[in-house]
Amino acid sequence: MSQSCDEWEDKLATTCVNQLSPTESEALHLHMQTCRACFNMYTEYLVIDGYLQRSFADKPVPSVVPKSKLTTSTCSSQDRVAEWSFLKSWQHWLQDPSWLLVGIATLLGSLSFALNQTISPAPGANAILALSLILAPIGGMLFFRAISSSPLNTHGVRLAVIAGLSPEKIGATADARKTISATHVEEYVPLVLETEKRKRSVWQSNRSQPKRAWMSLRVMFTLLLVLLAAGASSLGVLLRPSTSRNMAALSTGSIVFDGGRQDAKLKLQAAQALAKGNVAEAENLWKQAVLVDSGDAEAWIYLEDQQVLDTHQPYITLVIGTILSKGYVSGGRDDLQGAYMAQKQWNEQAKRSGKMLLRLLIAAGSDETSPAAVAQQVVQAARQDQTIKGVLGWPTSSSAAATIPILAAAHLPMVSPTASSDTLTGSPYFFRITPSNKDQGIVAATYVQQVMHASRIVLFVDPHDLYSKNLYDGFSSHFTGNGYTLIKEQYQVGQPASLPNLVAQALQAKPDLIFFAGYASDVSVILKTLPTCSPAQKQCPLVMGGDALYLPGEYSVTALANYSLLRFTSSVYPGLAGASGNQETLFQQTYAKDFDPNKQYQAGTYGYNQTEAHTILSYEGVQVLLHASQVLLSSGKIHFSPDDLQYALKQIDRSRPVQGVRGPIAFEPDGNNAYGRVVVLAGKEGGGVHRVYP
Amino acid sequence: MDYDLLDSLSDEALVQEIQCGKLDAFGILYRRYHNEVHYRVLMIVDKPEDAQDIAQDTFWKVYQQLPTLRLECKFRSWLLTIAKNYSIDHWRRLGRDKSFLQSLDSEFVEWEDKASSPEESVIGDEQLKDALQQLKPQLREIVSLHMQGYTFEEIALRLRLRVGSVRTYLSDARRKLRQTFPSRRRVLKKDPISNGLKHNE
Repeated sequence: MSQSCDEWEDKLATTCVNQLSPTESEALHLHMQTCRACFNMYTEYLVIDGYLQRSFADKPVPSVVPKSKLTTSTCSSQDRVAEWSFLKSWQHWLQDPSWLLVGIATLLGSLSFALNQTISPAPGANAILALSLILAPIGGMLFFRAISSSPLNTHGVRLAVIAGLSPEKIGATADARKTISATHVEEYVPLVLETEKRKRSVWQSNRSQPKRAWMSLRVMFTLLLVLLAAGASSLGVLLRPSTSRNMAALSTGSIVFDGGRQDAKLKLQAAQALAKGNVAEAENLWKQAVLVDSGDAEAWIYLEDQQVLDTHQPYITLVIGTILSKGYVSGGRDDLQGAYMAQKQWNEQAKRSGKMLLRLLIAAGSDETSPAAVAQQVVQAARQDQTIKGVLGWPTSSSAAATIPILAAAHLPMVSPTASSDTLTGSPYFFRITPSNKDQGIVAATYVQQVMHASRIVLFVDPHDLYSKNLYDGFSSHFTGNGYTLIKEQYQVGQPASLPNLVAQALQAKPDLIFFAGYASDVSVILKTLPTCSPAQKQCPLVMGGDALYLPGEYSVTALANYSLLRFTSSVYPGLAGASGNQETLFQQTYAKDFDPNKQYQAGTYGYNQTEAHTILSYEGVQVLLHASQVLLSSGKIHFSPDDLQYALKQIDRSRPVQGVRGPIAFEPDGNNAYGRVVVLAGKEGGGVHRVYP
Repeated sequence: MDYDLLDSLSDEALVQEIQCGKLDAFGILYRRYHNEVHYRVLMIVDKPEDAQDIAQDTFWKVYQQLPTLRLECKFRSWLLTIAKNYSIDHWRRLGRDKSFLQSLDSEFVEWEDKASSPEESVIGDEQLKDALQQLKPQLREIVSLHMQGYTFEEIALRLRLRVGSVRTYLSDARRKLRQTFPSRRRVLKKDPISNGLKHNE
């Protein structure tokens, strides 16, 4: 992007400095290296924006419009004009008071039906529920018109006022305009802008008549009906073809889970468009979203899902159960990226050969929604939507432990890409790609004893976290003999504030190694706390952990300065499982093509053109689910059940493995991956890893 | 990394971020120190315009050196040292009393140890506040909405204007606010590149 000084001046005159896109920002900085005038202009706008932010926003202008703002802005004058036009269009043929009875009957009937359906929902009843909710506002309008005495009386004008329109604009009569009191305007028009305040003052000068008490009652009742109508209309999302769209934790676009990306605003707008039934606009917004942030698999999945629906071809649905809340955002994004790659690949082939297409349903919930609650919704959705066949997930041991019994009870098979706790096995509906903690513990202990020769080890463990506790047990059980000093430090997963003090205590014991049984977001704090030094310096103990530490996106820049002190076990590393190099290279190339199609990012940028371990595991998880589905479809079972899929997954054993990215994948009778080999990787200063054992 | 997170980083970490290609981090450093640098220089030089020039010279040099910088001291100390050197150059060019330069040296040393007070950080805000007040209400309103995150289309709908008009009004408003800067006022009379300022060192 090469722009002249004038173009930059125009750009910055209408754009806050920190709202420039990364490409624009980079181009501007490049330009400023040789242009003093633009540098001066840039710094002046920095000062201006800083002041304006303190004055108006009280914080830096967000790159994404906050949800509340979006809600306000989407309820814009244009929308209100449209709504008003709709209301007004009904009035000409609804003047007959006999419609009153019809209106009341329709209103009460539809509301009671809706209530019944909400309390005791019947499978497949959503269309009727939606219809009833649409009839409710119509009923309200019938009632409203029946009690009105003129085509556009005082109530109509009040509605217009509430909608933010001037009485003149909607063609109200003079009498009607006069009855608009200042009280109403102040009460119902919560507008603060100066221009609108001025308009209000003009309106106030028109008032002349006092209200009658009974009129107030009528107004209140009318308002109640309008509110009911608005509420029911907002539930138009029920008209979407998927029955699972109304689930708070499941989404094919109607919910945005990953709100921390550059394209979050576009995804939110798409979700709102979808809720209004405007599929074309939603699709267009998702296309814009992936242009803004090509690494956002959530947007890619929504777009692909919509394209699947648009073809009107038969499809199967897999649920991606993951976590996109603080502390695991990076892992959740990897899960979605891997799943999307598999979906895209499958659908490209399916479209060519006329096979069943694949739709993905993201099940993540909000920060407050537990995986168990999300799993309950998956079960509910699967009962209503026969296309749902199985689940990829959940990614962590704790979340998998919470969801296995729920999904197993509903006979839904799940393939977890990364949950590694040994205690997860036992359910016939649970399968996993990653090796168990026991396998990781053996390799880690061997490395520590035979390569590092460490004897004094501080172990960080959260006894209440399944993964942490299990990994700790798997590792420490190999240090029972004499000659080893193990010091246990308890911490709490997801509470990094206490870690610096614990590290200080640990360092006093002068350990050879800190074994951290936990997650990347927490160990990042430990690396940040340790003094910066190379592994060769004795005063810096190495830090070691399990495969959950292999999430480069969770490490801060300051933590990466000590990344060379980190060791962790992993089942993902080039050439690890004997796969041909071609497959890994092909996967890497496809990844870069999918998530950095325009080559906007520097080579080696994680999340765009450099794959992360969890992405590969997630891809392989979907791959085995699809392989099992393909086996069933090839055998003529077009409408196979989740139970059929579970049976087909069981058939993927050592004699019939699936070729994954890293090599063969096959399941033991307990659901573990029979080919789950483990290595020890070491971090490089500033990022990147290399294999150190075996 | 979002703005809040960047803003929470130390100066040295921000320098690292810039070197890793996170160019927004320079904006944070600039916001963090430009008032202090301007204020410190203003205590020495007579004219606010000169102080502004020296502060800009300082940041221009910092900006150009950051990509390859190897910090051996605190960023703030390094920054203030550059400002000090530019101030000394300024005094030499004016042929002022050399004894003052000695006291200036000690004064700058104190700078490097002192954090700026809250009062100092409001320099510039008053002028901007005045400039903002002088804008027409509608322009002020557009600036306000824009800063709150509204898009041009949303502002246009709220104020019942055309999108193009919103863009033009916002552009006018921001350009008027830019007139607040002393250097900008001079730019109206003189080409910024050829106005005799000291350029890239």
